[in-house]
Amino acid sequence: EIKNIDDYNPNHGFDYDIIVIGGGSGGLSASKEAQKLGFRVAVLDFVKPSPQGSTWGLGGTCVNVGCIPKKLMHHAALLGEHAHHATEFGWKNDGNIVHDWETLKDNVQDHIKGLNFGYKVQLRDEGVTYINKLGKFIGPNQLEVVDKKGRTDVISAARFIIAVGGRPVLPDCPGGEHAITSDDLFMLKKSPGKTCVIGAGYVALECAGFITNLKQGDVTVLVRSKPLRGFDRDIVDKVVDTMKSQGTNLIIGVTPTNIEKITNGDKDQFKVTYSNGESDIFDTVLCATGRKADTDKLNLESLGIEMNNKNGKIIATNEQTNVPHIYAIGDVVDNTPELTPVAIMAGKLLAKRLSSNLNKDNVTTTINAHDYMNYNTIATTVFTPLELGTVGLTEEQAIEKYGEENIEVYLSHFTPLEHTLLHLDENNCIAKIIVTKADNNVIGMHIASPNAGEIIQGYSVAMRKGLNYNDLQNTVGIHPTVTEELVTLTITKSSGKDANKSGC
Amino acid sequence: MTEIVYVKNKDEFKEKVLEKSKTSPVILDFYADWCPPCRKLGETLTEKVKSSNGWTVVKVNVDDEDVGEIAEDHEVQGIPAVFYYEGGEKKDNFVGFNAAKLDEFINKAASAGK
Repeated sequence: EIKNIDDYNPNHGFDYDIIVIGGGSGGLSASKEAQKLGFRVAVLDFVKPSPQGSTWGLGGTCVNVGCIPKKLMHHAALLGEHAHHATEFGWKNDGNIVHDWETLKDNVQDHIKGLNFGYKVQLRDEGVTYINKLGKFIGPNQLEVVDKKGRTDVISAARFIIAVGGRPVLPDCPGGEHAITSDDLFMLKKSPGKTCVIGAGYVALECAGFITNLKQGDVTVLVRSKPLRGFDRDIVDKVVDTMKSQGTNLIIGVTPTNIEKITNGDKDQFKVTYSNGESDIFDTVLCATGRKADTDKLNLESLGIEMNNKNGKIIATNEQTNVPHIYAIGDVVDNTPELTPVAIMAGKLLAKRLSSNLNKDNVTTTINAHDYMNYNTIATTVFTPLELGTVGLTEEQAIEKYGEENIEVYLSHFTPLEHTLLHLDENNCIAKIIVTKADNNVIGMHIASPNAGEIIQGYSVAMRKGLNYNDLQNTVGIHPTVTEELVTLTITKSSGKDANKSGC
Repeated sequence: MTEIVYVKNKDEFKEKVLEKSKTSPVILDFYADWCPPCRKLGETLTEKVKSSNGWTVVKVNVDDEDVGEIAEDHEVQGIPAVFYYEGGEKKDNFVGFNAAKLDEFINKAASAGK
């Protein structure tokens, strides 16, 4: 049956077939795929400097101020930990291992700039036009674009893919403008020093974690309600326990009420007052309370595009907005996971669907179910010092969906072999599997341990194919590893037995 | 003492590479500040060009605003990307910090001046 997604006419007469607004994970993926499939594509990418003045090149949040620098700094911090632990394994050092922030920052930034260059070359090789300008809609098919010198131009397209992502929000208390965000942290010229982190989501805790372990200064985290809301509580507890034992100070149930700049000789410091009346002085205040979709200046309202007014995000079904020729992918889309691989896959699949009615004989092929993005059962990892890997439902979500009596929770508190020579807290790691009692199908898997990110990926492949608890039990584990915990879990919460490991 | 020449746009490229190489060889180096092998290559070139007998080194920073077309014409994908210009034409090139190839270029340039 012939089905046009949006009445696309190849002889539209506009400058481009598709303009992608935003050159991040989603935008670059969609534009390269679309160009490969025969469309004439342009990518608009322009970074508005952060309030502190930070700016960056092509590639979006992940490459410049997200996943990439975050993971490198997380790794830098782990290397410090390993260096300290090495004495128990026979390495002789005087225990005086010092970290230089500038070296780390410079090397991370060099790598990022290499990636910016690589993307420019890639787009050029694929034939995608890269336009380093800021765009806004002035008509259903027209964008007014302005470059950094203020010169304007108008470009047009038959279709648009909005992939502008989001930017961090600043604190709304007085003095909020003194805070830096993740937009600034990874290119900070000097060490962050003694840091106040506002927020308790994954960005806040990942940053608090590596700043602590890079020994840059004391870190205090202001947690409004609870850490890592939305993640499984038992798993989060282990992550937070480790952070505390490493010296991160978490204050639960407070928000900042005032941030005051104090000039102390030649350096600026900030006095942060909390809602419980206490206060402290810091070298850096890092706000990581959340992100807002970057749709303010796009002028989407003029086209009548449906948005979620609370977060500025675009409402889309199968990545199509209520205006048929305008699509959206990535963090800007409401109610989808804010993850790079999600944006990349959604972008690729969308480009494929858009080309499915680009056929010489003008006949549209049917689109199959797997050609649509499946936002379920997506594994993700929080790169706190003790990593948190998760796929599927948390215990709280499982109880809400099925009822406590209809699920079974398997649990183990354990110590990785590599930690046994160190004087760390016993059983500081945890693994959990949640199944529906009726059929023993696995609906959630979670782990807090070293390398959780590497561990959890394979299990998400299995879960998407319909993993059963018996499949796990029938799998021979690899010994000695951490991941084998997930195929040897036998103790249930409901049995009341002690889930702590002791001995081999 | 000869110093490194920096080219910032197509006009300068025409003058300092295409025209200049008609009289003496030019070693053209596409580089970037964030590229460690580029730094190494740059250090070697700076040293060697001091005792040049006429040949010159021209460097183009791929992040500069107006050099995009020059880089595209040379199909620059990886850096450092080094080209040997003689008689107004590119005769040879290599990518990456290739010490052997760099020596070859420098020797060729030096002997052309004799």
